[in-house]
Amino acid sequence: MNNNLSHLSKIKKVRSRLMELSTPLGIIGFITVSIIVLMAIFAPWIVPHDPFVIDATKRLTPPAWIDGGSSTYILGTDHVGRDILSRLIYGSRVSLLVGILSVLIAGAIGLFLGLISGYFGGTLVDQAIMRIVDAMLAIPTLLLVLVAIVVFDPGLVTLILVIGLTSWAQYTRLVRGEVLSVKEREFVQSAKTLGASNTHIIRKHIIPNVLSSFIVVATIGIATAIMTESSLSFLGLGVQPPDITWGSMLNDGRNYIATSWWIATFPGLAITITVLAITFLGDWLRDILDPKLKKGGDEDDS
Amino acid sequence: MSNEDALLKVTDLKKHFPLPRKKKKQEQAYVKAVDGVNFYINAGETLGIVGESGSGKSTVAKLIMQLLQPTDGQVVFHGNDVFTQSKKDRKQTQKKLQMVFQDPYGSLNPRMTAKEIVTEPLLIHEKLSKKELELRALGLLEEVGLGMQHLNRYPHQFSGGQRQRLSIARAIALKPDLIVCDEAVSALDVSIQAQILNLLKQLQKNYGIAFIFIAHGLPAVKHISDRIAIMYAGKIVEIADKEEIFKNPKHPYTKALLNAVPPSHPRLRKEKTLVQGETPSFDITTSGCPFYNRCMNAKEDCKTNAPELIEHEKHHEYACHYPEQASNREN
Repeated sequence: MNNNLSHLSKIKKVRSRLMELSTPLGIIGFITVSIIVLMAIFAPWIVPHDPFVIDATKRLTPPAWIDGGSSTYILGTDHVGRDILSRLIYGSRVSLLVGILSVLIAGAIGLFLGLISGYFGGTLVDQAIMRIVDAMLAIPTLLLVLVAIVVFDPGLVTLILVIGLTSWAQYTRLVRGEVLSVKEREFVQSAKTLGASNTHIIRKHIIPNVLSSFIVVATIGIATAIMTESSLSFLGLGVQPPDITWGSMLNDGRNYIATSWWIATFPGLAITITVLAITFLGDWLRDILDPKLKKGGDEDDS
Repeated sequence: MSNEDALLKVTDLKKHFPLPRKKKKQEQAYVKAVDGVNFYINAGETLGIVGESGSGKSTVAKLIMQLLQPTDGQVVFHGNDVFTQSKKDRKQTQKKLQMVFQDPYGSLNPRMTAKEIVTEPLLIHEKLSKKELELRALGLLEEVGLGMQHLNRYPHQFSGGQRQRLSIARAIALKPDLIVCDEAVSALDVSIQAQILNLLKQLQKNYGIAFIFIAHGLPAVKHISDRIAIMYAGKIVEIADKEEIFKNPKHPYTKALLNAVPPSHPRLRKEKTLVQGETPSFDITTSGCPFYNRCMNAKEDCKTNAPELIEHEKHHEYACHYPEQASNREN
């Protein structure tokens, strides 16, 4: 078979697959997340104003569509006259960075320990790992994070590490459960009779069959991490000023909520929309990653 | 047991599973899934193993494939005991001894393409280039009646029969000497069963592969077997050439199995000696014949004195004190 051709047909297949499995919510989630990611990457070039510049004369300008609003500040300004839209765009950087990196850390630990624990289920190693997981899950994550933040200096790196290192337990438990069921399936037994090594079985049989539910949970984990980051920044324990995050913007607007509602409302909306969009994306990913859900694949494609 | 240079020889194989103890002081009870099984198989021959659910036939298959460790006994393949052999011999055994599983849905990894599935044994045991693997995959698929258009498909895109063909292709990839088929056709339609059986026969003719063919009814093994062993409650109760089993069944259980096969025409229906009741519970240890409570020929001494599997006639062994008389030869 021509290598180049098969490569092309593969791309074509993937594309048609995406088309088949597109659900309205999935598409909304995918597009929204893409926009937020692009916004975060290109923030310095697309912001209408410098988000850090304080201008007391422009303070508490309402959004453009309200009396007294100005079209130069579409979403208004905050209590020290900074442009809210520009700050929202910059804030997405921290949120995504924290969300993605902390889940990468937690997911890597969780996947690794879950694979070991599940594959060697019932052994001492498994027991030890699961007791640690139980202990981790028994303590509320936010509380654990709070303690850790107080012990170490608050900041972006601390935040990522702390969220990552406190939320791996749920991935371990999920992966372990999946591994326990997959390893009893006959195709694993069959590989064993062939003399496959443990590494071969884990790599070729276990991981591919565990990965899809893992990715779904990890995606939703990003949303949770963003919420945790926002909560901590709201409490002043997260990312420190002058770095901008949606959580600290919420905090800024807290005192003005009765008179200037827009300061707190827009970052709140940004958090909600991002978390929802990521959740939709996660659900959609699960559908795509399941080969059984592929429709109309029975025709010959030669 | 005869035949010293058999391909595979099973000697006094036992597998007892411990039962959970209800009280601390209670004596450990066991399920005797396989309890002293002896048989051999020659190169290029097919041995059918028949028995009802719980008779231990699948456990025998798993023991032969070393998926379970035996409580006692030996499985000698090519002169090596598979449980105690050296690492190097084990590698060789894994190549030459293959298995086809019952469930065509569970035995194939849903995330592997047909090409990956059938070349997995090659990947593990031989170092081949990508090009060679692709060629071998195509060859294997054609061997089992599939084609090039199937190479990159996933298991869910195949029918049950096609999946079982894939399993067979994977099993023959390393040119094995013996394939254990654990109810390999039970999950398929009768028409598809015949196709798969014919495929196996063809492969046997071409490559001289021996088969251990496990099934829960006699019709499936009648077509393919040279010899048939009947299992009951973890033991072989009768083993003989196929013709002997069908024409001259000695053990009452074998006869009951034969009578359980529906005749091809309703008017052909004759006496019905179906077995009543269920397989005895394994944790009750009787000193007598395991079939005692369901047997029509049972007499008082069957209850206390278990019959041994003895070669009463040439190539015909059975374990019964009061065997059936050769009456239904017209069958």
